Amino acid sequence: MVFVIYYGLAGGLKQSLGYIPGLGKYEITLRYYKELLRDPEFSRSLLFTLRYTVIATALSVALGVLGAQWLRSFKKTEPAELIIRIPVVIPFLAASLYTILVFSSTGFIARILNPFGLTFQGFTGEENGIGIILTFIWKSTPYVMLTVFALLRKMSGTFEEVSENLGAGKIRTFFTITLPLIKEEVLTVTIILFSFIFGSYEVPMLLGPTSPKAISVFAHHEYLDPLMESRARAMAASLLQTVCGIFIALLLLFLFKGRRIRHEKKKI
Amino acid sequence: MKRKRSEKLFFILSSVILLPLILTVFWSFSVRWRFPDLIPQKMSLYGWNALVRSGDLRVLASSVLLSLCVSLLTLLIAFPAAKALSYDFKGKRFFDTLVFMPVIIPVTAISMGIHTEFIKMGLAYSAGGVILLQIFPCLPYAVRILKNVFGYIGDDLENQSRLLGASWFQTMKEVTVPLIFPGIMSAFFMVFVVSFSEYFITLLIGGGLTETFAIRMFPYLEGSNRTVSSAYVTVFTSVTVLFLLLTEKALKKHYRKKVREYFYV
Repeated sequence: MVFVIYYGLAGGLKQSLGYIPGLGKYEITLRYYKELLRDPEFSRSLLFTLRYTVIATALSVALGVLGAQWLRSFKKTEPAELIIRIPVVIPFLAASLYTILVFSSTGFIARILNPFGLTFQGFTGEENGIGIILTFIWKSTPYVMLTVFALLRKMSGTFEEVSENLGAGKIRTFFTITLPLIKEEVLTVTIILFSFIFGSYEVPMLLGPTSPKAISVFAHHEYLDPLMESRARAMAASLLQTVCGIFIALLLLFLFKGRRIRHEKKKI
Repeated sequence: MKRKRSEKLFFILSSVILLPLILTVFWSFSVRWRFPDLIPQKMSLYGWNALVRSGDLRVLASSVLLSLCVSLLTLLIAFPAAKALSYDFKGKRFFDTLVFMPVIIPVTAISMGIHTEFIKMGLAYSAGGVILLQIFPCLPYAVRILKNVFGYIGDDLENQSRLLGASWFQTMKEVTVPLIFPGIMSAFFMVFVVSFSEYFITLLIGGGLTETFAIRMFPYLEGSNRTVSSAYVTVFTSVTVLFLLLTEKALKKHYRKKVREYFYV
């Protein structure tokens, strides 16, 4: 087993090679951080990114979980599973194009609505980032659905049957029984989704407005600036972004795990 | 009645998913598709011509190769790591989080940070550097999948094999790998997709000298030429789907072999 653990370490080492140099490029002064925090553009980027990340994650998870529950009522799950796997498989660069084709002001939906005299503003490049949210939802909801469904399938339905037998309605059963059982997995998925969307560069780059930018785009923009100063700012921005991401992930983790710890203490 | 509702919902769901795909293919063939019309006015192979003529098909081939390299390397590292992680040991939590890190840390932050180091090491602007760094975001996916499979399978069979005298290499080859095979396929596919769609790392580290298909595709997506973008995206997606089918086929063949073996025992 020793060799196995050794390789495991090697894997971990690969990781540290990855992110420690990433931190190695910031100046010793904190000046850049202060500048950055005072920069309104930066805070707008941060808020913007946070906003669409939260909305996209929340909606994807909610829809995904509901969808997984809905999948259970199917007799034959094969065709459904196949179709749902498609958005997961498709790279999200492609998904961005899809959003453009369908949702932009000259996209598919606009054309369908047009004969009815309705104008459709279009979701691309606009301030609320709805296009970004939609793209992520399109890709993430099926992912959540599949993951949760796989989990649900493994669970036996006895608890729920008992609950319904005792008289609880379908909705109540869902909230009191089903949800707590899948809570941990859902939490993991939420964290993954959140971090991923938060740090995403390509999608907001393609579909987002020029201002406010998503944080990744902002950082990259600074990085390309020929002024050496901006490099430092870019690094500072990236670091803040990283810290923010980690912070929120930890927050979510403790929020929910905390409850579980209390539960287990009760059992003892 | 309930069944009808489910079926209707299912229909809506499928169309939501399939519609953009069909639309894209349509777009790739249309030269003029002005605003309010639901059908393109003029269709031709213009977009596809542009694609072929730009020599990007060669880039496609090299991108696939590159992603395959990434997949292989990632799997090589992920395999022992996942095996180790499926046991409980002293620092497990730490390593678990470590492996999980790339998911939480934005790719942009890492790439920009490591860019200078890579230049110093001479890895920038080379395919090697790109491959190396792409392993970073791909690893967590691979490890996660493999770890789950390892946990599910358990190590009894392997222990048995060692007890009966097989070396660890033999065990690995005859017992572990066949058992884990679906996991390997699944992880392989996942990593390939991540690598193939990876844009930022290649952009920054490749720096224009190393290009992948995703890089070539991006400017078209940014611009307003929908025809060519659609052609590129269709190719892009097709490669991914093709790969999926290939891995599925490999899986089926593997299972057929295994079933036969079971019956003989």
